[in-house]
Parts: sequence; structure tokens; C-alpha cells
Amino acid sequence: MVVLRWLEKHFEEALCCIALVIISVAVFAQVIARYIFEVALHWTEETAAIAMVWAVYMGASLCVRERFHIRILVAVQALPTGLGRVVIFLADIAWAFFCVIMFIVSWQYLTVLWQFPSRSPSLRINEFYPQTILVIGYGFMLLRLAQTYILWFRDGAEGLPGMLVEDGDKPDEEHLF
Amino acid sequence: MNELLILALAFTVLVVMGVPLFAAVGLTTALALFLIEIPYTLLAQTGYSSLTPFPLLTIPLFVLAGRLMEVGGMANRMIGIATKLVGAYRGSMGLVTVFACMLFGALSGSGPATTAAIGSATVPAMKKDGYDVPFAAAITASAGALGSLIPPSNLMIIYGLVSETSIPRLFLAGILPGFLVTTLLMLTTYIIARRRGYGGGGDPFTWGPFLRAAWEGKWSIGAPVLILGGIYGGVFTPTEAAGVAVFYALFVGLFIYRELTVKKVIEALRFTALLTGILILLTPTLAFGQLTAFYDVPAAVQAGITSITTSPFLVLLLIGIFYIFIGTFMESLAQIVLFTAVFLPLVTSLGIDPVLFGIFTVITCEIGFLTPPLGANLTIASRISAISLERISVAVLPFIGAYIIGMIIIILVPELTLALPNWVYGPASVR
Repeated sequence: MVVLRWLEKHFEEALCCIALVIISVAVFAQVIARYIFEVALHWTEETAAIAMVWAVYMGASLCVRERFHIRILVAVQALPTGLGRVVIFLADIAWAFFCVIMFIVSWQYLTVLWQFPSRSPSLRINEFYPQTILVIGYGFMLLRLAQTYILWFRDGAEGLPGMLVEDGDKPDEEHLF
Repeated sequence: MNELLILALAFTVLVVMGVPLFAAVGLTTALALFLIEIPYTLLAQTGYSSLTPFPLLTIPLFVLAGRLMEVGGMANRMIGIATKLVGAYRGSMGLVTVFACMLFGALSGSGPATTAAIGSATVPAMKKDGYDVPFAAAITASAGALGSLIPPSNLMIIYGLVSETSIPRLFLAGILPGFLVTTLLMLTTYIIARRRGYGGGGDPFTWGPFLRAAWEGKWSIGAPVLILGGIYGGVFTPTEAAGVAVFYALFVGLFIYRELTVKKVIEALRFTALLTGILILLTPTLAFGQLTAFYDVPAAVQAGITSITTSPFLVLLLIGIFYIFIGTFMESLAQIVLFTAVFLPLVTSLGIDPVLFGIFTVITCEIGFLTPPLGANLTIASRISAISLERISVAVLPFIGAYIIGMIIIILVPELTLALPNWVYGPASVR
């Protein structure tokens, strides 16, 4: 149970952090290898690129859980609560709809990749496997979105579901670009 | 054009409703694909391929490096150096904030991250000096935006990727405009602080303490020297520089300053994870960017604007006004991806260097950081100083004025931007 709860809380975060470590190490290894061992590593760029895509999708799912995705809420907050709730429901349905589209489209795309396998240029692995993240990523985002609503409903369905503030580890900064 | 209007309308409605920006762009793209009957597979393909370019890795790496440097004590040393340098004048803490943001900007690729790193230390200090809190927050928000102008810069990386402009060249081009904007911001701070009589508590500048602080902070100053020197010395690419910066930050934080702990490193990774997730915005945005060519948007825009004026100055000014308007509700990365493709053909046809247009774009995005409803720096400054976004939005207006003056100077004097890259790499080849 403890393990499950930890996974619920940190699964995407852990995968994303691991991917980030892989990126850092691969890029750094490339520099070190070139200047200290005087060899050009060929696996680093591709490994880092795959890790990057996984980091982004896992991070995106994490951002659903932490309400970290960039969205403009001034208009919704200006509305009376009842109406605002309806609008935010619609917005979240649109969001979920996009995730469903992406899930289906990615599924079809991956089916084609599976039927016509190709090998990646330097690691020589089947291109299919790294790209499964498309389905996994959007699948997780859908689950996390559904979870938001379940928790909101369980907490008495007050206020706006998108604005749920969880106790504890809330991030203190927002979209830092 | 009619279909375009539908798309623009759909996008606006989705955004105002509160649909997250990446899903709003994604749904608009899906609608566009539907209208011109292109298979939706494009969305899945770009969903993967748009995230794999090697230069893109620079963004999470610099975020991680910046966070490690912040929690590892480097940010505080930079504030120390800035205090010794400009601490004695009227409004000293404000000037210190601006100057420290400039220094930290050379470690960090992100404006909002710079606001967070420097502001969390200097806003309380300014409060103690009797500063009006919205004013203190406004200084921090506007100076933090320097992080995007002074290399390294996430925004320049995205611009370089979509416009196929050399990223090292863009980085170099940002240096002098960065100094210019720093000066303008310090002037603004000084004038307001003088009028309101905020204290200049520090000791007058003397070489001794300054050199001592610089020496104590040598490992912090070493980071930008290593990063930028490495890139321009041809030792490594910007992405590799970011990788080196991560390990440099780890090394200094763990073994020199000994302020990093395993817990802080993990915290920095988790922080980077959240920001990496936001990059998902790039996938539908780049797919949409590919479609603008189908709709002949660049050509239409070019015809439309050149029929009004062909003066490069006026054209850039018009684009600037448009960018500032869009920037009030658009995220800066998406803004660059969506509109660079639209405007770049126009400006290059008028003989404007793509590097100059890049720096110009970044400055308009920085103004976007400072304008509600979506202004990342304002959000962070309001969190740090615990006052409402509205109050900072008003206090930040003079600083936005400073940015606009900077923007106009950059349009009028292209040499300011282009002198350094052209001197180092030779004049740009005609594309």
C-alpha cells in the first residue's frame, strides 16, 4: 500500500528525474570523452534525445497532477462560481478530448511503426519502442485529469476543480520561461 | 483567409475558457488539419520528433544548472558582489537587484527563474530598507527578465531552432542589448528611488571590499566565463555547455561552497521536471507552425504590411506592438514558434538581419513577462513579495517603458546588436 501511494504521488516525477539525469550524463559524457579520452561517442545524442521526449511527457503528466500547466483563468475567476464551474468543466472536457485525440492518433501511428519496423541510426534499436511514450504520456495525462475530478468530487465538490490546492508539496514557482 | 478567421476565433475562445495552452493549440491544430484534410498522423509525428533536436536539450539542462547554482549558494555570492559595487547610491538595494539579475542572467537561461533566484533574497532586503512593496516587486520582475536577454537564453534557443539562425551568434548578440537594458532599468530605479527618498545605506564604492567580494565569488563568476568562453572558444556547443554547467554547479555546490545536499539536488531535479513538462507546449505549436505555410500566412502578411510601409523601422515597430499585445496572454515560447515563421520572411526581405530580429523578438517577449493576465515574472514576483498581481502590474509600468525605449534603440541602432557576433564570426552570410 505504501509503495502504491508513493507511486501514485511520484511515479511520473521519478521517471522524469531519471530521464533528466540521463540527459545530463549523456551530454557531459560526450564532452569528457572528446577532450579527455579523445573519442567521439556516437550514442550520446540519440540517448539524450530519447530521454528528453520521455522527460517532457512524464513532466507533462506531472504538471496535470500539480496544476502546473499554463492556462488563463482570469476570465473564469471573474465569473460567478456556478457559471465559472460550468466553463471550467467545458474547458477540461476540451482538454480531455484533445488527449483522447492524441491517444488514438498516436496509437494508429505506432501500429504503422510496428508493422514497418525501422532501426534508429546510431543505437540500432527499433524506433517503435522510444515512441511508445506518445501513447503512455497522453494516457497518463488522461488518468491524472480524471483523478483531479475524482478527488475534487470526494472533497465535497466545492469551488473550481482546476484550482484544487493540495496540502504539502505545492510548487512555489510557475512556468519559468 | 476565412478559414484562418475560424481558427483564430476557436483558439481565442479555448484560451479564454481556461483550456491549458498546449491543449488549446493542439485542438486548433486538429481543427486546421480537418479543414485542409491532412491526416492527423502529423500530430503524432511532431509529438515525438519536435522534441528531439539536440539544441532543445539545452533548456532543461540550463534550468537544472540554474536551480543548482541558486540553492548551492552562487546566487547569494552574486548579490554580494553587486552590493559592493552599487550599494551606496540612492535606491541601492534596487540597483543591487538589477545588477545581480544581470549577473545571474549569465548563468540562467530563463527570465522568470532569474526573478525567483535573485528576488527571493533582495525583495525582503528592499522591504527592510523601507521600499514600497509593489515597487520592490516590480524591480525584481523587470530585472529578472534580463535572464532571457543575457546569454544563455531559452527563448533564443527556440528562436534559433525555428528560424535556423546560429544559436552562438544569437547569444553573442544579446550581450550589448543586455547591458543597455540593464542600464535603462537601473536609471529607472534610481530616478524613482531618488524621488521617493529610499535609502542608500551601503558604504561608498571602494576597490578593496569589491575585489574581496569578487574574489569570494570567483567560483560564481567562473560559471558564465566557463559557459560563454567555452561556446565562443569553440570548445563545446551550447547544449554541451549546458551539460558542463550542470556538473560545474554540482561540483561547486558540493565541494567548494558545500551548501548542496542530496536533498537539495533532488529538489532541483523535481523543479526541473515540472518545467520540462511545460515544454509539451512545443509539440502542437510546431505542428501548427508547419501549417501556416499551407495557408500562405507569411505571404499574406508580407503583402499586407508592405502595402502600408516598407520602412524597416516602422515594420519592426508594428510587429513590436503586435508582439506586446499578443504577449499579454500568450506564453513566450509559443509566441516565438507561432509568429517567427510568419514575420521572418517579411523582415528578411526588408534587409533586416535574422539575428537582430531574434533579439528584438526576445525583448518583446520580456515585455510579455511583465504584462497581465499572463506574465510569468509578475506571477513569481507577486508570490515572493506576497502582494496581488494587480498592484505589481501598475508599479511595473515605468519599467515596461524602459524596455520599450530599449526596444526602440535596438531597432534604430542595429550595430549595437550585430557588432559583437559579426566581429567574432564575421558578417552574416546572405541567405
